Amino acid sequence: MALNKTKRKNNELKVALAGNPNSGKTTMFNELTGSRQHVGNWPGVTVEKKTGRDSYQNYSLEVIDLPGTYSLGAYSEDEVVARDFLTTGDYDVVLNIINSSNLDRNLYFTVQLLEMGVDLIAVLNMADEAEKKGIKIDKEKIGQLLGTPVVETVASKGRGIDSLLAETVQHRDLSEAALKIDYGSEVEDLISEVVSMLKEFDFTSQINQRWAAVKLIEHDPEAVKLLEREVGVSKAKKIKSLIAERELKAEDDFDNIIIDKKYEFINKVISESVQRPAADQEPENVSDKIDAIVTNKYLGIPIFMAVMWGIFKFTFTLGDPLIGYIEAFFEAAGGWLGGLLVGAGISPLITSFITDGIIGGVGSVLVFIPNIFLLFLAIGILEDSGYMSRAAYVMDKVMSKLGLHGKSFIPMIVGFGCNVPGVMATRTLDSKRDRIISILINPLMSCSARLPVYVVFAGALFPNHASTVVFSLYALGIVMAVIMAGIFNKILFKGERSHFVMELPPYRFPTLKGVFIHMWEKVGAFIKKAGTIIFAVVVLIWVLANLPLGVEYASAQSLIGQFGQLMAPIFEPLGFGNWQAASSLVFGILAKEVVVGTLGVVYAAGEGGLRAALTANFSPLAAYSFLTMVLLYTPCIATLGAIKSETQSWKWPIITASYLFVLAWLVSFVIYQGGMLLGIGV
Amino acid sequence: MEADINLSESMEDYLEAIYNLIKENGSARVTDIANHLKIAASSVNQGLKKLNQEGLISQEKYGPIKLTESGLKAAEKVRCKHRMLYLFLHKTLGVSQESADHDACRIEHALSEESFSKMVDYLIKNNYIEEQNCAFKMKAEKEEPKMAAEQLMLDKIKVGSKAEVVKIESKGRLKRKLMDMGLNKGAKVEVKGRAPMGDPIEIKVRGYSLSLRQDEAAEILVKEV
Ligand SMILES: Nc1nc2c(ncn2[C@@H]2O[C@H](COP(=O)(O)OP(=O)(O)OP(=O)(O)O)[C@@H](O)[C@H]2O)c(=O)[nH]1
Ligand SMILES: [Mg+2]
Repeated sequence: MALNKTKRKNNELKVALAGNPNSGKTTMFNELTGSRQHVGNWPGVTVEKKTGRDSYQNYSLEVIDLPGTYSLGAYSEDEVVARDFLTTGDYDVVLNIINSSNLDRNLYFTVQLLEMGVDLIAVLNMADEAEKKGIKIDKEKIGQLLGTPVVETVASKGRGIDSLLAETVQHRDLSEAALKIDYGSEVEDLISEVVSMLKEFDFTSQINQRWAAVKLIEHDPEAVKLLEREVGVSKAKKIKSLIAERELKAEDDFDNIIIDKKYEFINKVISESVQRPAADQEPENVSDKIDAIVTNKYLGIPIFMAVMWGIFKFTFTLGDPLIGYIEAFFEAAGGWLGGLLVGAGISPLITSFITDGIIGGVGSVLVFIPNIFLLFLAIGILEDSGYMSRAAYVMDKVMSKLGLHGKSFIPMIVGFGCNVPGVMATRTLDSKRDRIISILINPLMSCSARLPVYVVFAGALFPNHASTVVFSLYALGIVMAVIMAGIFNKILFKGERSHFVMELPPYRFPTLKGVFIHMWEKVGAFIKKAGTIIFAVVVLIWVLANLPLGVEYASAQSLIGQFGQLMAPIFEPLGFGNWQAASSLVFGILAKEVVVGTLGVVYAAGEGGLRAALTANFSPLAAYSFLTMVLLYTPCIATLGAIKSETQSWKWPIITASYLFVLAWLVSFVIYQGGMLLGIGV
Repeated sequence: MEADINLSESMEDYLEAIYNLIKENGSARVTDIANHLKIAASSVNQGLKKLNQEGLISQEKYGPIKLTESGLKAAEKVRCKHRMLYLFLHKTLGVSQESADHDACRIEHALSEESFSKMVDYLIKNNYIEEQNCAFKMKAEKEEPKMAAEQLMLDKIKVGSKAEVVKIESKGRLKRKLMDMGLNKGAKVEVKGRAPMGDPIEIKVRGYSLSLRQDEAAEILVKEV
């Protein structure tokens, strides 16, 4: 019934995965297509449409993963993506992924799709969890009552995938009829009247008219808008006033009646096809027990703090020794290769390119693989456990005092990994205002790309307090985010009332597969970034350090030196008015790791590696001021790009870039000048 | 509630119009009201001023008109009278739909509390209206505190207690969202806990855990079970 359905070859099928959030759509998508899309145990992981391919027998399938949604009356940006695709997109069949252990609410969405006339297969996923809860589902019966094929699966273990594929390719739209729920004489009479009015309009020939009528009767704003757009406000008004007039005389508001009847229908389906254990025989609910502690009135916030501290400790304490090894490896490799190249009579220029440029630049970034690895491992475990939603729940009161939303915490945590998905994760916020504020402060969450800068400086200048220094930077980022949220809250437009109606998923044991896939993906992306953009920038800087021809490598007279000197006065009051620091910051906007890469290239000439060079050129106070700058200043272009595409306007990325630069400068200024006055770390 | 506000007929019409417009379009503006009631915008402005003085509506400069809490109560009451009269005329006396509607519109303003309540009793006794009807709520609010005590708002339910949803009193998107999440009439809920600082709360509904804020819970009418 899709509006834009195109003709496809007989053996080609376009299959969409749709259903409630957190029902396992992406897990299924990965299983079907071999992709590695992000899976997590909280509602709203997927926020955009993703496409992949699969083949089965002689069929070629195009599979589309959609964000989850509870109903077709979408509220947030991610739900709109799903709704728009399902109501107007181009697809042959919907695989409706259903959480079998929560049929009531999942079927509410199924029923909406069926009423629309969508050709669907009901996929009873998470069959393992339903079984554990003692829920027995009669597949045949439920299929018969809904009028759809039914398949049972456990996506996380790959169970039932074959039968699902078999059903998908066999399945052909057998009946054109959509599901009809009896809404009672009052509403039914009105439906037939509205349908006969709709029949006069051409545009309704391609959609299910009964469904459209029901949508109009329940005052669905999108349906009303569509009608007004297609037939003009005055003709739409006729239908609207008929409905309003009838509602005045009705037993209850029409939307109440319609939703109640839908649930009545679902209850009937369930009572005829599902057996649940009696209340006293239900297996004990472990999630509830964990929640009693984790979200406890007194323990909730301390536990939250402890979790954050734990992640941080885990990343550093375990990562530090590993970094030492890799660093030693690169140093040795540089020395050995340098000797080898010189010995072989290779020109000094090429030797310098390899040792200073590549090993000094890219190598100094790759050193941090262990930290990145551990950070994403920790975030992966956090995301898979089900704690993300609890963090939002526990922090909502605090956050709303700041004019934010508890759910804004999720993008913030994601932002510790990388700000790009962090910015995208704000899609799940219903209110536009909450969303904009969350986007504006997301770059203040110190992403993994900034970590290398902290670690190298902290190791060089604060060897005995390295982890405290780094932790203080993370904390400073959060404090600044809180302050800025408060400020934006005061000066930004007033938004609509936001709410906190959010599902708390059951705790699940993080699967090894899920967590490792997530981690490998991220580490892979980091290495790829080092091999592409960082490599390219590093080469550029090496070239600039060698020009004009004949200049001493990486001296103040080289192009990069001259460029840095031009910028340096801006940073003079902050304690690092040297050209090396200035140029690394400027190039760091391309990607934050480049800050280290640039310093690696321009300081590589010195003996004893980057750390020694930093100790020689920065006082501890200047180093801390520099790190503050790196933490707070203009985000990388990828993040700015994400902000542009999420807000659909240049205004917000420009505001973000400028306010952060000013903020960074001011805070670094206060730290450096304050430190100088007090005589700390000079 | 009703003794303190004595509204004239036209005021009641304004209230009803605003209520309907907000329901239909999400907002009410002066021109819409004028169109709706087929009167001049200038007289609407005068009427609105009065309603504002009575504290029934609030309007920011050039902004849309909003009903205050007591304004909403008053509007619901007028509407309820309208519905009951219509049902009474149409269903018990057999008056045609159009005439019943038209007459209800005229009588609603003049109907006394006593007649209204007797009429509702009659309709209930003869099974013309169901329990969800507005009249029940009006009665529940007015009658002995016993009945009111049984039904209360979800935020007043103690942790560990169970209740059944009677009605969602929120409006607009929030109402839809709550109902989409399975909180509709008859749904059984159990309050599982409160977050630190008492807000939000966690409830169990239809077999899953849902969180909502106190002020959202305060718009869900439930009865203890
Ligand atoms: N026990 C069990 N867990 C599953 C199953 N399928 C998925 N999961 C888990 O359920 C959680 C959610 O899975 P996702 O695939 O991210 O769910 P989604 O429907 O894509 O969620 P959104 O993108 O948020 O709409 C993850 O923790 C999965 O590991 C299953 O069949 N059984
Ligand atoms: Mg997903």
